[in-house]
Amino acid sequence: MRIPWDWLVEHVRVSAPLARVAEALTSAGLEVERVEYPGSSLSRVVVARVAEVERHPRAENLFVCRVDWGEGEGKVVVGAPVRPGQLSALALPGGATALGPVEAKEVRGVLSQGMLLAPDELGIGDDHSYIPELPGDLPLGADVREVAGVGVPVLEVDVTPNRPDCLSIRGVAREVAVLLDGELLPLSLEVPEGEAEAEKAAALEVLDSEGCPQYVARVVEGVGVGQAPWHTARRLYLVGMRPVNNVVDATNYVLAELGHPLHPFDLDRVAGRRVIVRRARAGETLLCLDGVERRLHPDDLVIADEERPIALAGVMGGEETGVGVWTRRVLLESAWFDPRTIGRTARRHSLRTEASLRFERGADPEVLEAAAARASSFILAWAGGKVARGLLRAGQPPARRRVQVDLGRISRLLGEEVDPDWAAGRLGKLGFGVQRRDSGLDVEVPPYRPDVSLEADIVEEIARVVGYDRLPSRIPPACQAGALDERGLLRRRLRRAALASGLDETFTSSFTSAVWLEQLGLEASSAVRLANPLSEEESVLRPSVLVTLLLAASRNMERRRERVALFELGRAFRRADGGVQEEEELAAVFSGGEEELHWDPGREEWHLSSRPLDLYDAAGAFRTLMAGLGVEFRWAGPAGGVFHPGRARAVVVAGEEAGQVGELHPRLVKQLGLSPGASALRLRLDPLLKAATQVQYTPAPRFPPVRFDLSFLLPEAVEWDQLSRELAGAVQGYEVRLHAWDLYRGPPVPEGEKSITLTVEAWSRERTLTSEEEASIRSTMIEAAARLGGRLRA
Amino acid sequence: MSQAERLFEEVERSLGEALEAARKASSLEELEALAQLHLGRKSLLAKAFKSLGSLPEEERKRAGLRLNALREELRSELEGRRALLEAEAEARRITRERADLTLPGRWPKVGRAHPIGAVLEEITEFFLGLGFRVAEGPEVELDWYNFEALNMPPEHPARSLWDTFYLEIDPPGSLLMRTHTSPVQIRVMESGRPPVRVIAPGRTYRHDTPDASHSPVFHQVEGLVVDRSVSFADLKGTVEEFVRAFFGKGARARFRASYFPFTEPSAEVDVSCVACRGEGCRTCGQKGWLEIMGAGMVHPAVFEAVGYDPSEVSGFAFGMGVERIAMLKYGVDDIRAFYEGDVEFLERLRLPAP
Repeated sequence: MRIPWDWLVEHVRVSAPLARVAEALTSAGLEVERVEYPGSSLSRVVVARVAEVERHPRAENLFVCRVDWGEGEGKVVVGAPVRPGQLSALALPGGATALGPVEAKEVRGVLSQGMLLAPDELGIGDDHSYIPELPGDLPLGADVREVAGVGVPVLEVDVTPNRPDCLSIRGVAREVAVLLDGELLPLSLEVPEGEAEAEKAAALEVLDSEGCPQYVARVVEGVGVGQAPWHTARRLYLVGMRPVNNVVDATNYVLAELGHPLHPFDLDRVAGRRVIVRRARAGETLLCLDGVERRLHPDDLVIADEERPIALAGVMGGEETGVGVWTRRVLLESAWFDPRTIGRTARRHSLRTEASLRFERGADPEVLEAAAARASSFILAWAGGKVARGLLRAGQPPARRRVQVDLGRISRLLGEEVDPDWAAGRLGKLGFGVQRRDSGLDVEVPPYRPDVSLEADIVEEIARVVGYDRLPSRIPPACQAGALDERGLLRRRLRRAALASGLDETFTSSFTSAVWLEQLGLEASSAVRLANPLSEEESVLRPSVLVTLLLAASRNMERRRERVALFELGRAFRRADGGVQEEEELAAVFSGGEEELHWDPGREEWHLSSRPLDLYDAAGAFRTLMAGLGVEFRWAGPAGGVFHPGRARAVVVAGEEAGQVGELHPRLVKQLGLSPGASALRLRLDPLLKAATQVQYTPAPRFPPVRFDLSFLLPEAVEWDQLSRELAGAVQGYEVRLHAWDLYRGPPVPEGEKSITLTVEAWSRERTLTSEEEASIRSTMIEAAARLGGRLRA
Repeated sequence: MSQAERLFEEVERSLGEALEAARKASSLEELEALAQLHLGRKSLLAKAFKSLGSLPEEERKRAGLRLNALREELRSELEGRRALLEAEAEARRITRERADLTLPGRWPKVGRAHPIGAVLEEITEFFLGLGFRVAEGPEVELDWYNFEALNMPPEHPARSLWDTFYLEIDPPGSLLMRTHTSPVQIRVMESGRPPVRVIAPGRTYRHDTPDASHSPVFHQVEGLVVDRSVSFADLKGTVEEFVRAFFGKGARARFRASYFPFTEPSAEVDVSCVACRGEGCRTCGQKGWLEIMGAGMVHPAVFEAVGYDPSEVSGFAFGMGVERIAMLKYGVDDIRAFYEGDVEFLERLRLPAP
């Protein structure tokens, strides 16, 4: 809500300066987001009289005016029609409008010695269509900022949805009065009534009292529709509206002032002069004031005449019954509509208006007559005519809510004793009716506060006016030990182990596209789609963290990053049993190169070279992670999915597939622009949680191990994992540890075989091993290898 | 003079010369040659030892002792000289050797932390210290948890504060991407009795077109404390302590009234601007304050939704945007940078290891 300062102080007498008012409002929940000074960039803009107007000799749409600003006279060229004798804002050469500097310049052969300003040039609104007429009594030559209200500051207040009352000048003024000890000034609601009777001029029928619990209408006859006065137009601009005509502006003016939406109908265009409030009928349409014809829904509440809908109730009027220069008689609607009904209609038609916003949030049910009276008197003042006697009314305002407040509980909730008299006084000023009861307050809620219905709401009101910053603070006493649960610990360990193993931490979007999933060769059918995505690229929930991480890796490669080793801990989503299954994963990608340092101290040579990151980086990181968690795992079959069919494996933890490790599918690597051999890993957290991670110490052996090498020729199919288990398992009575350090294929190793060389470390707990024992271990291992089809390499 | 005597005399003389030469030797090679010549198998000394056998008993003993003494004298001289020369050579070599330690060395590559991860951990760490536990909930939520139980029945106008992603799953509108971490409040209270003291960090979603300060995917940390007599003072104290821990001792917190359907009273919390310390600058839009979290006392309707008796218990809740405070803390000016996964982004931040 935009609050022009001059309008505000018409409603509240306050001694505090604007900055203090802004601060107090902000602190009390009405955040002043900024203070604007609309006319601040104007310079040498003065009040001038248009003395003469003639057509531009060489341009159809231009006029040449002689203008008089008291201290001088000149000619200006203007693009909009002006009336001889009108006062307007004139920018003199060397000065500036809100849109830029002004110089004397030739316009199609006529020297224009300045500019007459439109609202946008005055800096008050974005309207460039006309030259506003200033009040006739302004002194010529005076600075418009000082005399025409152009320099008035405007507070932009962010009004939270619970405070529809503050979508108005009056509502904000009431807050200012309470917060800064000001005085809310009374409002004149007098309407001089004419002879004619409203009840005879029009009829009212409310068929849907649920959608429209209250409807009040006034009739104004003999209006002359034209432009509203300058200060009305100016204020409407400043609050963000556009002046239309003196009748419509009167309703908008009251909307801004009291926060109550009104609607004027051209009564002579209302069939049968009967206003009917009902739901729309199937097939009905309405041409709205914005020029759009809308097909109505049976749930839409409409104002109709005897033939057709003439307005979308509480949202927007109809074009055909709108007020224009032809209008003589006006029916002024002041109603209260059901917030939900209006909300649904506004959403259904994607039509949010100043009116629908206020009805949806809850308008004041007791302000209907006051709003109608005020608007009628403005119409009288600006458009002339006579207000018919009496009003049309259907329904009555509901009873006010009452809230019982326990003072002890207020004190406990705020952490401080609250003085009941002080609280009662403040609440009173906010419009609450307050009566002291022995241990509390009996509070009557004013009609414009739909947000207050509970004790807690009253507590907030009190806290607000005390000022949150003045309330006490303390650290709550301990009630339990803070600790991470199993999953929290697992996640923290994983994150730290991933960082320690050289992976950069990454966060990517949870959204991806079906096309991308297909490109990855993943099934898009089990993925979960958004019903209202922002774009096709982000329309599907990622079925694996790897999906979006691969994209990040690709982006890094595109940007020529050297070393792309990323991990992400996040959630993946899959369709399951009609719902969505959500699972936590760690994914990692390895692409690009790793720098390695070679240093020859003898020759003092230092050399960095890059080697590509590959599947053994993935395998190594995987081992670091598992070691960091102390979780046992087992290698299983091919990884599938985005992985290379032969160079990636699934891993099993606690009897369940826990993830995959290895090289990415070469087709994908190419497509993503990753480096050849780029690799990845994926790890599900759930199986890791199930895995027991008991730590059990076995004493370190005090005797040195024997070490010897073995080199085997093995069938291609036998992997290290299998070989090492077989060898270690065969040895009884000693502890052994095996390190593979060479894998070789090619001559002299026969085709279909490979050579693996390893170092065996063997210990006894009792003694240093003898050479006989070493030989026995050795031969046991050779026999074990033989069981896998291996033999000692000569 | 017998032949033997001549031999002995010659040995004496030659070893005397060798001693002299050893003392003057200037290279290890020279010392080696001297050792070969005078102590080797073909040396005069060796010959003299062999000839000892032909000497009578008495004389043999005397001559043997003499030869040994001569040999030891030369040996030790050679050895001493060698040590000296070696030490000199070593010293020369060391003074010549150089290495540029300013060049990168070998170091285990440690991954770089992401600001979201770092901030999440820092916040968690702080609240663990205050006796909070960590709770979680699903990112795909039911309307009940995200809205209804939080005092936002269908068609509640405040729902428009949270632009929501819905899932294409039947019935339409039943499942959504949680728009905040507040649903975890409900889940925690549904599953246990007071006292409750938890934080709920997690990923959240809003149907916002991305720009420098909006991302459809972001993170929040929720906090919830419920007990017999929890007051607004407890909320203030907790948040103020957090602000000092997170933004530095000099940071101040400011509480403003605000509105959330699930808290009453509700507050918006500002921290004194991290860039200008409250003077007013570009970062804070001249306000001197930066909005960092929403907070308030748990609304009675929320307690009723989870079966707590609002006349028996009270509580406070707060929620903050992780990216937002990371941006403030580290001076990141575009939220989208968090989600690009660019390693160079991390390089520019260089957050300390956890």
